[in-house]
Amino acid sequence: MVFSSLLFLILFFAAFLICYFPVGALLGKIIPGRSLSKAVAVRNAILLIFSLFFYAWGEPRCVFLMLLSSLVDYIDGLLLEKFEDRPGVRKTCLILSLVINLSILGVMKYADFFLGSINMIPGISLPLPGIALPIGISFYTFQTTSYSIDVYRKKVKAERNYFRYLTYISMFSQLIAGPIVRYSKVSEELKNRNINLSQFSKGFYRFLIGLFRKVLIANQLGAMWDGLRGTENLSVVGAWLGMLLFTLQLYYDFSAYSDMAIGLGLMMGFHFDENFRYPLSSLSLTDFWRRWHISLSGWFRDYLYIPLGGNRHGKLKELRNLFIVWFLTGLWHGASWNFVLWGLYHGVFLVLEKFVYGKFLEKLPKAVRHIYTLIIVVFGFGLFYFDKMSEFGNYLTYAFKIAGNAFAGPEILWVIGNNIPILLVAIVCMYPVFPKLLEKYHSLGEKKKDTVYLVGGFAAAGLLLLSIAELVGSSFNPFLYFRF
Amino acid sequence: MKKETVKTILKNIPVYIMLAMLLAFAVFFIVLPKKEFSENENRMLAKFPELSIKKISNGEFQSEFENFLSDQFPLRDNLLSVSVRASRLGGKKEINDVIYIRDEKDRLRLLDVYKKPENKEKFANTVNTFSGKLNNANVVVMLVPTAVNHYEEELPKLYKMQERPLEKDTLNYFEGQFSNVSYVMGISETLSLGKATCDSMYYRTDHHWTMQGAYKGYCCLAPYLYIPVKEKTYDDFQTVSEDFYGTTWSKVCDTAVSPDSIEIYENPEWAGNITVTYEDTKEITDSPYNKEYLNKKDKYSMYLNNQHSLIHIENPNADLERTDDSEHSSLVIIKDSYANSLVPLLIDQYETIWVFDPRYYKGSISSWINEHKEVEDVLILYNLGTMDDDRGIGAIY
Repeated sequence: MVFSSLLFLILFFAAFLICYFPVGALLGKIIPGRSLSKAVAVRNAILLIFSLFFYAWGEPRCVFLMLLSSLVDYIDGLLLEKFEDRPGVRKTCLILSLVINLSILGVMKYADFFLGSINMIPGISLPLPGIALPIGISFYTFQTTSYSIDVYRKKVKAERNYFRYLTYISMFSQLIAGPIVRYSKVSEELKNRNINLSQFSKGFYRFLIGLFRKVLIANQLGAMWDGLRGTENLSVVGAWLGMLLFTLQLYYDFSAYSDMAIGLGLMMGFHFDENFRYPLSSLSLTDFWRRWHISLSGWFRDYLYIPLGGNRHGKLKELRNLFIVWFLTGLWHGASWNFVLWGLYHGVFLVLEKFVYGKFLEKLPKAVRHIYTLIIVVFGFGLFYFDKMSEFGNYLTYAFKIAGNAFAGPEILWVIGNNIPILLVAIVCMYPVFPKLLEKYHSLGEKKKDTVYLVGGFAAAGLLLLSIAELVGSSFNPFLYFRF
Repeated sequence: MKKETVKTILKNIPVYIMLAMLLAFAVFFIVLPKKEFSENENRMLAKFPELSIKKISNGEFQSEFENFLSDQFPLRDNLLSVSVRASRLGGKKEINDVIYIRDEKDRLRLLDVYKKPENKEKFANTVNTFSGKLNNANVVVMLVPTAVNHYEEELPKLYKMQERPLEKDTLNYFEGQFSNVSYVMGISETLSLGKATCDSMYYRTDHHWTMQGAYKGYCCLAPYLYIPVKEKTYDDFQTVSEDFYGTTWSKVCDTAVSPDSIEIYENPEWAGNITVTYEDTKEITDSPYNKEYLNKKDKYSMYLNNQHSLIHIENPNADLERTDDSEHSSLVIIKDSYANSLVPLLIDQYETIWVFDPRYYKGSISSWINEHKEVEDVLILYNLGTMDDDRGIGAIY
């Protein structure tokens, strides 16, 4: 189930809100026990049931895989604490958990990819198992392993209650498309969290912003890109515009999902970290990776790059570590070589910025740095889009005018001309305009603030109706980040 | 209550409204009676899916349920129209594969975009193989361009500028592709004459041609069948409906576009004299129209009573004057729905007309014709919008 579907919006969401808030409060009062922890326990139970239903709706079989994966780490956490003073046992426990989790991920997500890659060697032809990727496995595997590592590092206490741990892993808000929330971030709120109206509203509005960005912007950009991609004899400008459209679509699609997750979390009383900070306004690739999918880069930094030694053992080792990290970052995005190439492509530019021209870059005017970054990012997402190298190669012959195509052709005019308002909004909102407006809003007087808040609320109600209309009106609603 | 609390509650009125809205959709979805058929979309709507462990575990139930939800969604058509209105406000001129233009009378008109034809060769081969199997018959192929060709000039400027498939090119392609088959030329030009007299050749809300368009088509076709053109004036046509919203309109449900009117041609001498037999349902009438459809959404189906695999029309009083020395009195038509409004114009000039719809007629039409030696003329009539993806045509020989 995805958030931007009628099923979620109309049935699941409504049912959840009713059960979580009024029914949850009522049950909290009826059931005897200590009031504070009991109220949260009731809500956790409701959240867990809804989350399992949410996941099972899309993966009726693989839901058991998630239960298994979380059970392994739950037990592992307990063992890690039990053998507190026996480092050897602890290490074995951790390795066991990592091996189990990564093997599940490896088989479910990468079996075909690995075997297919081996098959590229002439003379070998292994049968492919053809396993369908379980939704969200990349996300929850990273969550559950981060927990084991954190317990191993004694950064966080092991969770004693399995259901509470399962609630954390399966929480529907971030289960299938992130952000990757660490246990340490929510361990307190799993036991005790505050629910109130202003926070609920804030979360709800945040959810709506995500919904609007997904339905009203990303989906439209996707349709534009689909239209442009199909045209014969694409011009150079058309080919680049196409990659830009895809980049924008991917950004709005994915960051909208994070918006919705953060918003839903806040409504329920959880505070998740931001996952995107206007990455398409970056001034360098290094900057880009501090702003794009922050929870993933943070994971690779803390659980892979630093344990590998980071930059502490000389340049050669640092280069090796960066290579490993970017190879795997690429691979994480999908079981296909183009994703690996995409990861390494970014790795190369990050290394260049770090060791070669980073200092020089900083002296350039901001506009130049920004355009440099955008070109690399946009081209990179071209690589990201085409999982068949031959198709990308073919596309590039248009992008670099090798196909004998025109520099600028009329085919792009209709795509642009027919979609001007959406394109304008999409491009303007790449930049941190909204936070600026928010700043202005906070500097207003109390009375004015209330008016703006109320007017904004009614505007949101209009857009919500429009989003529902848009969802009803179109069956075009694929979530791009489902390959992860 | 504290003043602050009251303020917070008041401030969040829009939040309650939105939550109420979501809840209202949920409640209405659950309690409203479910519809079986959508007149607007002309299809059966999804029903509540059958429940079984197998269907749940392979996800079939879930995806069927989501179809059920979107099919049965409260205010479905109105919501579609809301989204289209918003897109139009944003300056969009192409929505859901429909292009908005202003026509010769400055009215809003909806055009279906022309998709790149993939099966031109196949179509030509099929027709050639078919005609090769016939022992002796005059085979005529008529391909009718659709409204997007007729309104080429009125299309949005930027739309025109892009490279795109043109119906004109497809029409030209077929010149010289057929052997022992006459190919009707100049339809596009004949239809465009209608623009000068401000006659709608096509519906504004539907993908078919109008009765006037079909009449122009008849004028164009007549010489290939060696029948003299029976000139008609406006008085020969009568308007039977003024609130027709067709299939193109159903893709946008936009009431900013006014409904079409429907005309028919009906010779007063038909009543009691001609027999129209729908071979599949065995209905027999004396009119090529089923006016019951005028009370439904799908009004175009009034022509030839919607779709039938085989229709047999007899007119004993037909005028058999011919422009050559033949005395052909029997015609087979293999066609899509464009022919439904043209057939009435041929009734006066043939004693027998057999109308095959190869989408539904499952036998070999060429064998059928060879068995019926009285058949002298064969007309294959398709519009360019459906010619390419009509799977039925492949089975005519």
